[in-house]
Amino acid sequence: MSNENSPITFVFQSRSGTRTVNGIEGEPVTAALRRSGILELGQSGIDGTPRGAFCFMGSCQECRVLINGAIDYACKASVLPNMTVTPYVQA
Amino acid sequence: MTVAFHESPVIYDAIIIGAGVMGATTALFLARAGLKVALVDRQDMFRAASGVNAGTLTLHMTRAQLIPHAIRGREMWLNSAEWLGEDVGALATPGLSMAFTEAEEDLLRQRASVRQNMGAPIEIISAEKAVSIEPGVNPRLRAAAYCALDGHIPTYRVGGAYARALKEAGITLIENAPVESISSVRGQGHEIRLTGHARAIHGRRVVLSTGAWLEKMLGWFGHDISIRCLINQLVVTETLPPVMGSVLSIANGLLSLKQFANGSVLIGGGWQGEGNIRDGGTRVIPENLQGNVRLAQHVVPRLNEAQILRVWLGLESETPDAMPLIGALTPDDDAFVVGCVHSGFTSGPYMGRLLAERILGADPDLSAFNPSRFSPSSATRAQL
Amino acid sequence: MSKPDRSPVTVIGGGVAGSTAAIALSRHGLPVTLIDEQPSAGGQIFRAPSSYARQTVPPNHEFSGGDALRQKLATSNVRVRLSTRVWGLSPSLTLDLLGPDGMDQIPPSTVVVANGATERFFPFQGWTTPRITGLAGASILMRNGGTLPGQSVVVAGSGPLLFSVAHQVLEMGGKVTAIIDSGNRADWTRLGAMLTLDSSRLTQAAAWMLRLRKAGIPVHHRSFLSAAEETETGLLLTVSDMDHPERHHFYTAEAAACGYGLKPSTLITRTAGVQHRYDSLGGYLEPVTDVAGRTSHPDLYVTGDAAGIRGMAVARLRGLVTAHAVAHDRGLIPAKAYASLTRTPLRHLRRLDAVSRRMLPLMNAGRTIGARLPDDTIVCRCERVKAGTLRTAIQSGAEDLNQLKAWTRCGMGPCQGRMCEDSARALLTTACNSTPEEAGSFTARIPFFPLPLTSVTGDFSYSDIPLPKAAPL
Repeated sequence: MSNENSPITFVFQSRSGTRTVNGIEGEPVTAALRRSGILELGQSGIDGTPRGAFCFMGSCQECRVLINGAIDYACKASVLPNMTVTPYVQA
Repeated sequence: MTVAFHESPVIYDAIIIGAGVMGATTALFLARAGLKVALVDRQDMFRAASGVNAGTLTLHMTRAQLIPHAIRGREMWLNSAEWLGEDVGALATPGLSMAFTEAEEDLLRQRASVRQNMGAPIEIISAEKAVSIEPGVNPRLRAAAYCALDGHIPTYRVGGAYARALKEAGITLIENAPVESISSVRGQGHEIRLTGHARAIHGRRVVLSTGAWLEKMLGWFGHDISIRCLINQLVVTETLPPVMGSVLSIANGLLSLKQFANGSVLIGGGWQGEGNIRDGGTRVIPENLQGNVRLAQHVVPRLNEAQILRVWLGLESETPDAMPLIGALTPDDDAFVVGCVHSGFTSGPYMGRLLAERILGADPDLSAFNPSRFSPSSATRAQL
Repeated sequence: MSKPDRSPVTVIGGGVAGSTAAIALSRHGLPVTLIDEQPSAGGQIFRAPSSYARQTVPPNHEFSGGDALRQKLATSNVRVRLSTRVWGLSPSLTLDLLGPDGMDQIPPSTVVVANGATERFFPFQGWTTPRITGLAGASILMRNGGTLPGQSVVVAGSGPLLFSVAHQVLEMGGKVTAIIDSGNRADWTRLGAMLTLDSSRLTQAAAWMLRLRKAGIPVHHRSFLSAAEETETGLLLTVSDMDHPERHHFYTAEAAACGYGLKPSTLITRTAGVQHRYDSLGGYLEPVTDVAGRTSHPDLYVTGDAAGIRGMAVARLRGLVTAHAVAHDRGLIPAKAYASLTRTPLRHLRRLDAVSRRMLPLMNAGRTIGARLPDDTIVCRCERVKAGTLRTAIQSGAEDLNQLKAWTRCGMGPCQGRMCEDSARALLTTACNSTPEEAGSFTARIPFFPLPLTSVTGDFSYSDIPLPKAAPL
């Protein structure tokens, strides 16, 4: 991957607004979001309380977000230029 | 749960074998009439069909002859607080059965008309009308059958509600105790041996309500009835924004689709999995998973946003004529059966109550369900 | 020796055990496919660092070890399928996969399960706030993502990972506010006495603890995190004493990481129907295996931590021995060659196994926490089921885990009980005064993780659907 190490930006669109997030191409989405202070990746479908990455191993299912409209794991998915990440209401 | 045995063995007035909706309802009404009742299950209560079914209350999918019973069963679910002691969350909704091809439309009209004759308030409506009632359905449908009396229940709430009602009624619940044998003991009714229990239990009457496991036990009473075991597939999605408000099905009856209050969508309809009741293991057939889910997505296109959360299989029992078994198994009127009811969850509580009434001396019309109809030699004796 | 069987082998999990097994199997001349859910092989310990992490994290054994492993895989004949997950399997071991190109199946083959461990959690008030992560999760965020969970972190739970994670926070320039250990200080001392048996690992652990002590970080033994409350800037954390629950300490931090040891991932082995047992020392369910990973299913082997938590060194040795066992069982090598190939690995395995088993009680030191949860604590994160709801169901007669799940929805959500099973079991066995065997475990269901519905349906037209014949009238 030739573009690794490249600083890029992507968009995080949530109920509190749209934010441009800095990241490094290829790094996990959670890492870039967390450095920008974004911990809330969505809400519980049961009680609406905030939800964020918890196990980082693909077990808890809580870090799932929509990346360009498709569900993915923020702890695993790679940061790509110009992508749009939106919260996923789950349960 | 275990039972403490005292010096002299207890003789129950009735021992019900099979703790699902029908057996537990029979047990409940017998106990409330003052009988001393034990309820036995091979595993934990409500863990077979009664605990894992789709929770559909339907007149579209039930057998036409059972419509009157399904209507009464549905009413019981909606009023569960009155007779069960708590509200299990049953929700009344309309039901729409849809046709997408000419052949399906013919089938839809035929099935609807038979059901109308049996008292189901079903009418054929146009595609436009169907879409106005249920905006989420595929507008390519040709026609729909509309029934005002459908609905659904979050099945998971039912088992706990029954457990509390059974305890309240003073019923002895014996779980994880497969029945090894049932034999007659003069003056003491039936002696029932249970795996894992050193001492047998005794009952003046016995009721078989063991669903898919009925065949062998019916044989013990001389009824040679072949019970087919259906292995029905169910699929549940993660929560979605509202995409439907009614119970949806298609003309041939092979889809049930509903969205629960929490937003999850349940996809059923009796697509088959693999397995057998002896080994207990069941397995999803990938082609049937795909077929069932494709059908659901065709009917409600917005399901393309859904995530499949879980797939499982539930066992349903069926007699050779697909009609229930409800009634006496012996001329002495001391052994009974209730089961093999198509769409059994809808009618289940009513069927269980009917058998309890029959045992308590009333005379409900159970002639169409007489288990002796399959065994010509014994047909006359059991009717006595 | 019967005719050699050179049919394909599938290895599930590309961590240390799986990668080692896959490479060794391919050296025996077997066609091997290795499946891993991550974008690169390495598993959790050797998870490939992002390019950002390579810049921000000081070089360490995990980076170099992982790079070496990936290099070995790349030069082997192993077919590696990355970003691919197993979501179901049949008793004959047909594997259902979801990968970058959608759905796929692998027809029945010999399967080596090397899918490692899952972290065990015990809940506390407020544990669903996004400022709380698992302990292993915090480590992955730092090592793979090069990012601190917060500038200040409370590290809580049990087992050696506590000190490893605390050390990683310091290494990245973060502040460790406190370390909360549910185990005894004396347990750690006893472990130190075994230094000669596993010098590398225990020396490292001792070095971490020394550095943490020098940094003046408060360490509370026999204690646990009992509550987390969101404040304007972070978290207010309550630490309670295991033996005197009325005694508390309070800390503020930007984040907290909490985990109570590891347990084998068993969804795949349970679905395959192999025999399992409850290991009371580890406090978890594990598949019953022999030393080489053979199970009650003739074509299914389990290796690495998936066969019981023993750590990385054992995982590598287990992977090797399992590969030789498959080769032997397939008739590729005679018994004598198997014995000579496995003599040394088995000797090391036995020695390290003894140390690893001694660590299990340390990891399992939090087991009583689940039993004492206040009624309003959320146990099941997915379905938001609280301890009080579980207790009500238990009182109504739900005396095993599956009945409890059926009546309360605890464990019915997307994680399929991975997060809540241990605390539900602790609560149940305490309330019923029963054993973990009596409580059982949640029935495994497919899919093992939520599947996009369209990945099952694909492109289709109505006429493609094989409609069964109509239900009876």
